[in-house]
Amino acid sequence: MRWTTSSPAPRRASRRLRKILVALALALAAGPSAAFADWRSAFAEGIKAYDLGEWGEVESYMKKAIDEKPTATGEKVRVYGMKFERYLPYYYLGVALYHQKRCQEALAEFARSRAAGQVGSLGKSNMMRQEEECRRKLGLPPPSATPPPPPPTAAPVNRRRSSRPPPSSTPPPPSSASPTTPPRPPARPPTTQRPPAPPAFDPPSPAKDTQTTEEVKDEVLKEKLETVQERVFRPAEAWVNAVDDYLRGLGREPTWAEHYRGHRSTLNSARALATAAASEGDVHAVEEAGRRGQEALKAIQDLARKLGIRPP
Amino acid sequence: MHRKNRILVTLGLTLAAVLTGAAFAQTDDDANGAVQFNFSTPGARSLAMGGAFLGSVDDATAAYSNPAGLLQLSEAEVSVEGRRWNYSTPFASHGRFSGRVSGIGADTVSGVQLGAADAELDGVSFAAFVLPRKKWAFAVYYHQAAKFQADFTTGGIFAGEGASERRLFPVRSSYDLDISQLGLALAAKWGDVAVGLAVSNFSFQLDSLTQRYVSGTSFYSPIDFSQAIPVNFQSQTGDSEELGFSVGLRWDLGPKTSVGAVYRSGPEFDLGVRSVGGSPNQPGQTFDDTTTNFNLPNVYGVGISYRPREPFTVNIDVARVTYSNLIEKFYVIFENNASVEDFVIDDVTEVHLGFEYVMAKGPIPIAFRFGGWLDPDHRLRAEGGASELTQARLFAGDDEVHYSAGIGLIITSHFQIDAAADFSEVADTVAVSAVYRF
Repeated sequence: MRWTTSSPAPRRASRRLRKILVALALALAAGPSAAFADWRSAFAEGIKAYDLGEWGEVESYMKKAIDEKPTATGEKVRVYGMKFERYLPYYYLGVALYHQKRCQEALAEFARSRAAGQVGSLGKSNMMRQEEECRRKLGLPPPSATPPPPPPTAAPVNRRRSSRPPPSSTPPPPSSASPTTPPRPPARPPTTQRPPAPPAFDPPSPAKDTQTTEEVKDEVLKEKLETVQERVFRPAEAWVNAVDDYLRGLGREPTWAEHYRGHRSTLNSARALATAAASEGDVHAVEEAGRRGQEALKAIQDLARKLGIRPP
Repeated sequence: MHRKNRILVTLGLTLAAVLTGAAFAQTDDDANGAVQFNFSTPGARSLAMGGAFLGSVDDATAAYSNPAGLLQLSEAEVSVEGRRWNYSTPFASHGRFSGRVSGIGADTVSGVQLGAADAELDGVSFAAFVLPRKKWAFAVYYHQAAKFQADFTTGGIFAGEGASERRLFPVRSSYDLDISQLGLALAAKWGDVAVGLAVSNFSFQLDSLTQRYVSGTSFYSPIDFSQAIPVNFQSQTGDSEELGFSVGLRWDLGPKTSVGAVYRSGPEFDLGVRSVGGSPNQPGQTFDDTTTNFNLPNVYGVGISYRPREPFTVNIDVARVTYSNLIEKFYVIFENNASVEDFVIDDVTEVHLGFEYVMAKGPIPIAFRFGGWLDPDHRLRAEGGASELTQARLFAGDDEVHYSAGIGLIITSHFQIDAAADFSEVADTVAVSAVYRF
């Protein structure tokens, strides 16, 4: 039989395709067994639970994700298919706690999420509503009420003193304690009778002369937190990821793993402390968290260098 | 009328009168040579990945592809897909199968020459709504299982020499098949394994007509259908509804790997078949007029989805399609000596391979996809005891390799659009689909 217009080319192509498939199947079969979890899958499962309103599971998965990757980078993570969500585990954890009527914890997570600064407008509005409700339940004033400026002798500002009277728009003069007006009680007992030390930052420019001291303080806090994140926690993330990858690749538990995990845990705690301290307005605590994080980072770097590990 | 032509007409009519059967479903009618179905997984995303999706099934198309995959969804989702099909179906057009070329009239070419029946069709090929819950998920879906047309004419193939020289009746043939399904799918989880079941109502419509002619002037004359004399015609008409079902399994082997398996049953439809002398306008003797079955092939397959690194996914499917169902009740119209066993459609094993890479960093994540799949030959062919002329018009085809590519845009966290194209020698498909998550 003769077919004048048929060609053997497609059959050759199909043989080639078969060979490619076999090679690929073998390559896949030889790959890692994949029976490990990571922060992405924990976060994805958490989002699925969030969509379905399974708040206990959301809490569990988000905590797992945070443990693996504490920095809320806001990067888009695949949940399933083409559904992507930003990596904001503190926000989702806060929502889960809110729905479980654990307002105190929810507020702390919302504060951490806000410190990360990655919550979108929709999430922010949702978060604000839930925060407001939590504050109302806990008898706390709304966060939008700007607290009054601190007394000249006040120690570092604690925002929880926002139960004070309404703020003024400008800082009161140092001699506000006039003979006709009784002096307001300080938020904390003054630690010294001396005037406060000059701030460790450049004073605001004349253009900012309508800012309250509290607003200036906020800027300092923000700057301080950003510095700590930039110098310590972001670089630390790359080192931690590199060592984690190395550990996974080993497929066994080396003797140094426990020490490493200790340093990693210290680093995570320091990071959480820094964001929490920033939300509380405690500059010194932010600095202290930065120092702790720096030490843990150095220990991890030393270990990694000994093992010849470099972040990508 | 030329003497030889008159003899041919008489022979043809006599033969047609003799070759009547009690029942026939798929027949050796030329029109049944190469029907294209749409058994690949639906959705532009899947099409771009060579239809490799059984292990992944992580969107609303799971309702058809593998209902067990519905449990991966956590938000209600609506998905709609439109497709455009460009078919180029090969058929035996003209030429000489055996014997010496006479050089007279139409008998000038040695070897059987193939033609291509081109058809362009489009429509909504898939739509679904999925409602997921923690332990179960429910979906309602529509799927176009087949939308196929092939209209062609043949010039009458020559064979043999001397007294045994013959010529096939030139043919005008049209074939129009439309099979759609409206289904309900349910998925539930037992431990780590998700199980899905779908039941669907298939709507079947087939309308085909093959008219055979003799050339009006001489045995060797090129065919001019405006002058040709109609000899007989065969029609197939179906308009019925039947239930079908599918079951699927899916399990995660870890955060990077998942495996899926599915079985889809093809129902049997009522099909009216007629073989009549003359032409539809002036019908002669009715040789056959009966109702029988059209058996849609079953499909069963397995697939694996592997994500070596987060933005990159590899899918591989292997699917078996039982095309032989189409000739379970085969009836031979035009052959005295051939038996049913001389007509064959092979069951085939399709291999699908697809890749997806998602760039998620920009404001609008973009997915790039490509793939391919092997579609082994499943033409109706005559062999063994069938005459050489029957073997000439019902012939084995080639395995087809399809190449596909596509893109997906995640416009918002709730809305995405995907587009894809799939190319092969016999069919090109372009698809656009949209997904909205509530």
